[in-house]
Amino acid sequence: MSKIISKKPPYRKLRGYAFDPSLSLELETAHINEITYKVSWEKDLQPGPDGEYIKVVDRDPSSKCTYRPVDLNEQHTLANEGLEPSESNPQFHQQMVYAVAMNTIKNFEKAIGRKIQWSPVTEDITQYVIKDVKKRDPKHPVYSRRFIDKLLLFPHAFRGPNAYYSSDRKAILFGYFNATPASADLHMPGSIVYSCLSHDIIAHEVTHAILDGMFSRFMEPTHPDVWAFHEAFADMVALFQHFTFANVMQHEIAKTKGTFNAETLLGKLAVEFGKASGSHGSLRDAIGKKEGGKWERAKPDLNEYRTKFECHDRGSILVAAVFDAFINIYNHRSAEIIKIATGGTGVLPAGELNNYLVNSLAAEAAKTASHVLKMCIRALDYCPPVDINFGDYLRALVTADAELVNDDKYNYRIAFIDAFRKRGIYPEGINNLSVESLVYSADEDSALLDEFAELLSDFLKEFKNEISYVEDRRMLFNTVRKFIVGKKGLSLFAEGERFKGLQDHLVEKIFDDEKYAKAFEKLTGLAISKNFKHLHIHASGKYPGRASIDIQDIRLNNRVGPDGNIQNQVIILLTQSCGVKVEHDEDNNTYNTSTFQHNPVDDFGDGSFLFRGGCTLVFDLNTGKQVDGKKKEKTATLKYVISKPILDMPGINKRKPVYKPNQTRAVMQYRCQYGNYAESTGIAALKKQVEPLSHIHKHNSK
Amino acid sequence: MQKVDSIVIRMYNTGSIGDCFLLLFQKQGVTSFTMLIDCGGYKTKKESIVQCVEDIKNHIIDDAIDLVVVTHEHEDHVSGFNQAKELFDTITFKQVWMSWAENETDPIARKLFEEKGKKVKALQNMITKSLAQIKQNAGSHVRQNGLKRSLKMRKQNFENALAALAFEDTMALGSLGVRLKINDAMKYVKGKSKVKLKSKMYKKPGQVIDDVKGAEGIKFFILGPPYDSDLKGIKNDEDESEMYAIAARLGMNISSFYFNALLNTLTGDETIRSPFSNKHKLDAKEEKEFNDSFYNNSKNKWRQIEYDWLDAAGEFAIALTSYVNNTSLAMAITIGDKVLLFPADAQSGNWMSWHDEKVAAALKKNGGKDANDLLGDTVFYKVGHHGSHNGTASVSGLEKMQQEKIVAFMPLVQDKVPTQWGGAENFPAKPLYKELIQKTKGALIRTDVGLINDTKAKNLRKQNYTAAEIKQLEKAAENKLYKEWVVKI
Repeated sequence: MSKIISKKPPYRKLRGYAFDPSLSLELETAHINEITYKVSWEKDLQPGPDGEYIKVVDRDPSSKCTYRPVDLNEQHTLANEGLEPSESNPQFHQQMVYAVAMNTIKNFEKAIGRKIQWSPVTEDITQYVIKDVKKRDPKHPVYSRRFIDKLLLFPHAFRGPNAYYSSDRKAILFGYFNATPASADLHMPGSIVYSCLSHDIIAHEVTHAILDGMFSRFMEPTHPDVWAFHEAFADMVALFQHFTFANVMQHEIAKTKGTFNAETLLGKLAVEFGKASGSHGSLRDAIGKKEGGKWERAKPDLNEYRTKFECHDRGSILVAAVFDAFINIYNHRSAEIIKIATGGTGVLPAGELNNYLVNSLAAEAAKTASHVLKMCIRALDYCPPVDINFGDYLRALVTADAELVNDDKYNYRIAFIDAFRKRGIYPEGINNLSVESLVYSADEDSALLDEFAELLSDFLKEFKNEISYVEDRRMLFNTVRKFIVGKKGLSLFAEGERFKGLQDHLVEKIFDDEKYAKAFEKLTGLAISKNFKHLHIHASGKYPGRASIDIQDIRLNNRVGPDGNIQNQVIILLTQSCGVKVEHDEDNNTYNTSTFQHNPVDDFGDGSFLFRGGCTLVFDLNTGKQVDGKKKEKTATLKYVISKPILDMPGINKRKPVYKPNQTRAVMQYRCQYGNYAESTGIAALKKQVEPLSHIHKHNSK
Repeated sequence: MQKVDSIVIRMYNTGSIGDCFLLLFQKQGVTSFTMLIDCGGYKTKKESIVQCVEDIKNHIIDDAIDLVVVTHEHEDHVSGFNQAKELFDTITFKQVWMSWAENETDPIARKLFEEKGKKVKALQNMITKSLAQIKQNAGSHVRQNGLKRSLKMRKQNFENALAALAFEDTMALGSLGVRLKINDAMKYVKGKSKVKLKSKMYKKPGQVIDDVKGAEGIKFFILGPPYDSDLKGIKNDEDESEMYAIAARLGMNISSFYFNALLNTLTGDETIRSPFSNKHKLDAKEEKEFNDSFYNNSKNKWRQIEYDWLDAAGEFAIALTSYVNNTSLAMAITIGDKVLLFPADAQSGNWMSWHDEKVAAALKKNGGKDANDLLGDTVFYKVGHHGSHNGTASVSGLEKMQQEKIVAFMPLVQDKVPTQWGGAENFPAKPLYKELIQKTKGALIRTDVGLINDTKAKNLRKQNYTAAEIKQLEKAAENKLYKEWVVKI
């Protein structure tokens, strides 16, 4: 007797809106607005939906009620590819946020090649670790990072034209509101608009959460670019995710008939996407607008980066730059198709385009969008852990791509560099804008670099070997924690020799040798040598003679490139902090920077703040030298050092080194949070909000 | 008949942020007509105001003020009529002017007033209730850092919102040292007027009054608050679209969708609260199960979202303030070619409405000048709303002021700015302050600091004013109790 063995389905198909419900009311777009999302099959999906990454909780406090959670495993629902799109059924709303959120998460995972994690919650655990009340220091509580398994999604959290990611609660709150008569053309006056039904808004907010999970310090506005980057990145993901819907592209391309022009078509579409989600007004202006009935692409302005400061406007510069690159790449890629279709003339015949042509053009656009999206996400692995600016991101983009793709035959990298250059975005400390100089390098004393890498080599490989086989996200989190802090008393049953974490390895192998410590200091810009006390940097709890350094994360970058090359990199994120006070004269001409002893409990005075330095170290496990004699194994090499120094670098390079905080960065942080940029960037006002992100992008009903 | 040839303007220091202006209209040095515009201070001491009113009493004729103008119903403009009531009892008000918005028999005014009262009450109740809960939560041991921060901020926001609402609650105790409410002050002033005719007391934009006895040659142009389209009165007194338009222009355009939720939550009204039909909601048993197993569970409680929707309440409280500010009676007074501008606390919506086609036409027809002309001829400017960012319009206001020499008085005591207004650092609003210094070429006088002494202002004065004129400006600001400026024909 033969057994029928059913296979786990790869996808769960769920119906939803491609844009938002308002487009279903317009005749032209009605039929492309409904699509079927293919969401990775989750084995134990509970009603909610409540899965591995997210839990949809439909509590509606302003209506004082909770809506019944949707069960996507219910027979009829399953057979029908989910519930039918409907504005009046909250269960469909739950399905929609689930589908788009999972789609976004999976796009990230495809690009970075590992599972995403939410940013952990920081908790005061003093009462658990110090049993003796008298020994507790109220000024220095003991904090711990707790794993967050699920992001909470509240589809009907409040009444208002907005939606936001709350880092405090690891949750996304979607609002709903009644359309005001001002937008009567799209929404019936008085009808209710749900932000949780817009693909763009969901993707945008989930991206905020994922980014926060990778870089929790990007929530701190230390440079006009930091919050702008958060916004821009979320917009980019939402935008390019849209372009990956091939059927939407088909419809649009078919409409153009003989006048196909990628620049106009894709630009116009990007703007339409923005319009549908009821927000991104500045995105509209950055990409282009209709004037006198004719659509026109916005021209890049060399001064933009120097003149636009408001978070949103500034973010749109980045989106526009990436979008430009996307169009150039697409033009390059689609030129061949058009040439084939037109017998080499490149001139399309008038009238309807042939179906095959439409499909291949659409497929090419979707493919390009997916490439660009992946590139944008991968670049995150080469970003500094604090204080990111657009120039850093450009370098990260180029580095990430050069790492994975040897042969840049479609000129992706040039397209990006060119688009950024046109908007006046230049990375600091670069002599020219060639790919070679933009790719990060660790060109310091390379003999020493090799030594460092060699010292950590075994540890890094052990990490790689262990983490590669972990599937469960909680286990992943715990494994990373184990490799950071080692394994100690927390596990009561741990016996035998204590497992040493990166913290121990760094101290024992590098920091304890003052010569190495100083070299590492110059490399990373972090205070490693005994001189750290000059900056009032706290001493490490475990190694009181050493500076406290926060190892934010250890990541494995294990990706396969288009040529079949396999990346094997371990990425380490270090940060360090000290209390800095900045004072200046009346005309903002001279600034004076000093440090002070801070604690996490007391409020700082005006002009005083926590100042952070950080460094991303990228170790390559493939490229090291052969260890002589024994096994045919290579050592690791330290390939890139991406640093935001806490130290004043010229100072420590003096013959008689001077230890002080990095003046340029500290002053910039001061200007953003207290000084003359606080208003123009909008940071002053946003800092007063309970949920700062909520006010960066009020989704207007207009 | 001899005409008025000069106007003495006094800006009193009521001890806090607030307006109190005495205008003496003179003919060859002899006062022929007296006018009081507002008399109040935010949470100010009784003595401070009494001192001002005593001085006023000494400068009027026969213990009578010819014209008392109360611009709008805010403590910082009316508290004096409560706090110095005994003194005012001994003074006659020959005539009182207020805006149409204070006219209880005007259907639109009444409806807006009721709506505002309802909204203030609803917000007050809801915020008070939530604040109590937040305090309780913050009191227990909160371990999550982020939550600790947000509870603290939310508490502060709600406290600010309550303070802002108390300011809007005309039935609340308005002034220190007396047990009278803000609307008692309004009633008191209305009651004291010798002229009782409503059409004479309540002013609408477009009106020009040029026949006041004792103020011959003077014209009073009423600019705001906006009373939409038809100046002859509203024919259809319950027209919703009309209501909507005015409410929007006065800044009270707050989503009723939101307020219905507030009201329903308060009254316990179970009907039509949610946009979804009841079959989608968890029933009581399921709700309890949901709370026990997840939402209210001590492990997850820190992730609740119960108060987020009330964050907007703070913004609404501020919106309500701007509504009342927008009901300010804004006027221009002309003496010869010269214009004195008193916009009270008018904010953008009010300023912009002065330029409405119909208002402009009426002003031109009735007085020969429209708002453009009046702004162009302004030589004395009472800075709107104590120097806030939206109390002086740029395009429809400051930019249109063209005179070479403009003197501006700013009724501001910086260290008394209430936190719920954004605190002292936002008063005066920096960008506006810069513009004002430029526009007046340094001739800007504040209640607290007198003639302002910024380097920029000093330099501008030196470049544009003669030594004698500078001396005059310094003299204007010298008195502690009031600042004084004279505009001559």
